[in-house]
Amino acid sequence: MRIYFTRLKCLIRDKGNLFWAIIFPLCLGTFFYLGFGRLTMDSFIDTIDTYVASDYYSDLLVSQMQEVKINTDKPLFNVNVDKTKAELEQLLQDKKIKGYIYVENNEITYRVNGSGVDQTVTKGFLDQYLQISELIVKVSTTNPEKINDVINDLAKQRSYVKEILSGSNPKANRLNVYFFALIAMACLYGSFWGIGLVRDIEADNSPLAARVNITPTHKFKLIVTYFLAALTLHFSGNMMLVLYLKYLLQIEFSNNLLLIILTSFVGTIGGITFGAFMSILVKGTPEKKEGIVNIICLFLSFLSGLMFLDVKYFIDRNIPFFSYVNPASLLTDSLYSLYYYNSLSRYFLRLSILAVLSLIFISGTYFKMRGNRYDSV
Amino acid sequence: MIVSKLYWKLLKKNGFVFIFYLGIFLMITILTAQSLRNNNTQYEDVKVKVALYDEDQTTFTDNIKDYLKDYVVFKDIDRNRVDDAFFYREVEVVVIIPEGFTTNFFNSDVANINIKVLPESTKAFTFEQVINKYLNLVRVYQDNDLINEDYHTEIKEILAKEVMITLPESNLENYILVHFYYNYVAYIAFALITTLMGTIMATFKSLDIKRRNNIGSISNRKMNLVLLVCNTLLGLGVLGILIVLSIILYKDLIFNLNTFYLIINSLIYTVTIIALTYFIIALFDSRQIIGAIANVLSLGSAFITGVFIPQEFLNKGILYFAQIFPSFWFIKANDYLADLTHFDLAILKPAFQAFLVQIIMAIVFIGLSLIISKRKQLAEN
Repeated sequence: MRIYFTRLKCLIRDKGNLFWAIIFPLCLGTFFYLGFGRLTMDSFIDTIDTYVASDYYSDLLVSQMQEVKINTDKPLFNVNVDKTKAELEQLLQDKKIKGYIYVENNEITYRVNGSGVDQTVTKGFLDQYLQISELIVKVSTTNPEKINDVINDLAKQRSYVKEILSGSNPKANRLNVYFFALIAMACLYGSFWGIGLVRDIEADNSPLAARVNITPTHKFKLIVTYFLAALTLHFSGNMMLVLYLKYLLQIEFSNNLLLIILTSFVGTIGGITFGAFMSILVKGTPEKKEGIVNIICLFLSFLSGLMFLDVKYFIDRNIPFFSYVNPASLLTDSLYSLYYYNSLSRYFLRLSILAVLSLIFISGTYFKMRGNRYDSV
Repeated sequence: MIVSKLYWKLLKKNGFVFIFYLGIFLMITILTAQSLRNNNTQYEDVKVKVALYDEDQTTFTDNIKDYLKDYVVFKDIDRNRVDDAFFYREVEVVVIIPEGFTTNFFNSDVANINIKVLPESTKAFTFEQVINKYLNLVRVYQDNDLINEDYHTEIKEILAKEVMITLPESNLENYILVHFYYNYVAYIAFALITTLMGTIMATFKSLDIKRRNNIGSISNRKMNLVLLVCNTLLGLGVLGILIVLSIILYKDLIFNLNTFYLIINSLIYTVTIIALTYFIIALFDSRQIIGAIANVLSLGSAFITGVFIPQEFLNKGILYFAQIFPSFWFIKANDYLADLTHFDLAILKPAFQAFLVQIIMAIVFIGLSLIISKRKQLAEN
């Protein structure tokens, strides 16, 4: 117990690691939130500002546009007919408006400064206006006796689609994956404590470790105690991050806080054991090991979508094996599964794989470290 | 010579940082380019990406698919994977035509196609507009006994009639790619310059090394001058590589006046970042703290000044605060310059104002670094 508390004290004094493992994720989470915490990458239908040239317009077209509704109380178009074609052209050139409509010799022209959703919706309406006129002309020439019935039927537009909910939450916001990837990165930054664990136990790593090696305490006991101290500190940091994101910044997670905590716990173990394992694999000074592990952690986080969301999906789709062995992807995916899917099977699969990976890391570290004897350090 | 040799030796030691940042930058740029690539010289409808599963399999549902293929982009996605594809918007609408739909459509009042969409999204609206248009016309045909063998072709012909669309001739094709690239330069240049310069300069800040240098034959003044030249060369070198990369990646789009001004803006920004890094180095001595501040500032400012998220989407309060960062003015100038089609002094004025703010910031950072360094030097002596 004494070793545990002494170790915990040592870890708290390591300001560099404290910054990277605890403060940096909190800062990054704040920046994510300030940048896109309240944004969504999807656009929602809203009233579109539409301009019709006051010197080239059709009464019927304008009145039809004013009648279209998104729902009972929201019109689809806010039609402006107070500017001339020349004025609107200037506004279009200055990119102040996205497009305008004018009617010349009964032909409708929609002048736009580029493609876009607003332009597509407006064009969709204008097309339909033309198409209905076309049908009426066609029926009045081929079946004139039916024209009134056809016009009446055309007025009764109905919807043939029904929105369904199945298996997952359609309103889920993709941008939240950045926050999940951030938690994964924070867990992975537990690697620094893992490196510290090896540095302070392996005699050829530091004078302190050489001193520790000549004590009668069993190496296994040392590894476990150091690991528990690192786990305590890093898990507390991760919990701070999760609670800060979920309750202070109000980021949407799954409602199952217990499973989020479990993910963070397994992730913390994964991070520390990963660092210890890498520290055993990489030869060199602890600074060199930290540098390499830092780059690897950042790269794994990058692949799990931390810097660019589409990277995660690209890897999941094209190199799925990599998603199953990348601890950052497994963690991000666990939190994503909890948030998006109704079923928990995918979540538990990812978390189990991470637990197995952690076991491999810690066993590898122990088997490589046990029984090491030094003639001279 | 000795000082500059040592500088480049230290830089070489940190080469992997440079390669790492550059590698990530290139991957993000190329991936984003795929999603941004569109043709601005010619209008194209925004087509909804659809995964369609037909459980009814009739001639009528084949007709629906035949009609839809001109108005949506069909994605062939395994049904087990469709939820993931929907979340990441590889598909924007999941359509399931249920068994019995055809019978219900022609024989009863209730016939529905099941769709999974983000409720009230523009993509949902656009898709519903497209599919309902066709199905309503089929209904009108059926209710008025107009259905014949060729009804599907007739309806398709009617629905193919479109309004005339025109665009101003001056629209720049795909320039958004270059615009995005140069906005992203704000982050990469900031991260690279502060990290590399910070690491190298922190080496010279150790008190023991300083004392050793004090008794050397090279005067402090000369040494600082050489370091300043090396740092400036490093900054300009980083920018030079980024500019060359932009020419390689976008050689068809890049040769115009817009890019000329974007490069001038980048040059001013780089000088400002060098000055800011000097300021950080003057304030802190520990390599770890300098690295931490460099990381937090480069990433943080990228999020709140419009590098990662366009300024138009950012909260006004955040943007107001973001004005203290050089990258805010850099992005502001970039956003303005990338859209210009005419160039004269009056039009360029807002960009020049943003340049000026960055230059003033550079002067302030240099002034502050000089004051702090002088005070610290006096204290050490």
